Amino acid sequence: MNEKPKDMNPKVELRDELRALSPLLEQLKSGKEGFQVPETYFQNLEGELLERIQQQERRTPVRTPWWQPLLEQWQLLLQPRYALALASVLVLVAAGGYLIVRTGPGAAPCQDIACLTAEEVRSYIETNIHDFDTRTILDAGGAGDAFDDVGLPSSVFEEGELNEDELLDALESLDPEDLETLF
Amino acid sequence: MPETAISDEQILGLMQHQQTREKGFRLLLGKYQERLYWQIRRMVLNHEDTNDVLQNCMVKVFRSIDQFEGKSALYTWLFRIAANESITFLNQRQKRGSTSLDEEGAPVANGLKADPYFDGDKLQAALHQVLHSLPDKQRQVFNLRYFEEMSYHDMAAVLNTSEGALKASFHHAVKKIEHYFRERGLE
Repeated sequence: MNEKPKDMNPKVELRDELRALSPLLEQLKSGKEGFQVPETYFQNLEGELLERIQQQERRTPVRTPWWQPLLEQWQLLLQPRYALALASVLVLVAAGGYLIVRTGPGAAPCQDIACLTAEEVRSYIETNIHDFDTRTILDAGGAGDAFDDVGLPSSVFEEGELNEDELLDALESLDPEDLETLF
Repeated sequence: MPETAISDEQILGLMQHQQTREKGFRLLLGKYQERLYWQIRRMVLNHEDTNDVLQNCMVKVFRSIDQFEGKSALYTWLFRIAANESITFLNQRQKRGSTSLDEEGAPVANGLKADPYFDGDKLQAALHQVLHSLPDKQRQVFNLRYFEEMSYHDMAAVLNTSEGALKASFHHAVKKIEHYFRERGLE
């Protein structure tokens, strides 16, 4: 059995195939194909094509991904002079924000007794009057000089004894700032 | 170095980078432009139309070279682009009605006779006339085998079809051509 060589020349293979299939086509194949091209066509094609591509590129803006401009902006901000300016602005904004929080409506309440209103002091004393130890008041008043300083009448403290009714009346009329000086 | 001595890998390597893309493209053209030209010319026949189709095809190649995945040979990829461009062009031309293949007579042969870039004889013109009446795929098979003398093995890779199917398609095309010639007494 004759086996066809595997790497047979395609030209020879085709000729044999055509001879078997169509002698007319085999005969036609030996002649010219009939097509021609302008003389310098292939030499000029490269230049024409590159010019056409460049023209199209000039007309059509290059499509960039949506994140490209953001990335470019970010890279610009990372340049030292812009980064420094940005850092300064951020520090100023942070400091301003801190101050606003400290002094604004939400700031921490005043811890000083002087910040209390007379009404608040009165209310506190009325509620907690029994917690006021007379001894404490006496100690705070010392020998009565402190009572004089804040304007309590001398009748409140007579002969080492405290007149409680007088004291209550006096305390009610006492200025909160003066009260603070007793303690 | 002649273009044909440059490997496809070298061309692709150059075309992958923006700075060397143009150089790579020049080398690609030098290596494949004539082969692609004749592939397209045998489909569309007229030189001016071939030039248009080839230029469209090469612009696409330049723009979409990044999409070439290397799963096939570079020529196979180029061939497919050229084949698609040719068929698209022929369909558009047919819709415009500038060359209706259903017309009586031999419009293709007559067109070729009027083409300044065709100097074939009556038989050559008749061959192109009958080829034009074949289905696109069958015509591609015939062109690759008859004119380009490509082996069935290589054709199978280019057209992504089995060798047996290609052989059958070619034989069928040859029989149709024989019949056409016999009918018109052109033997």
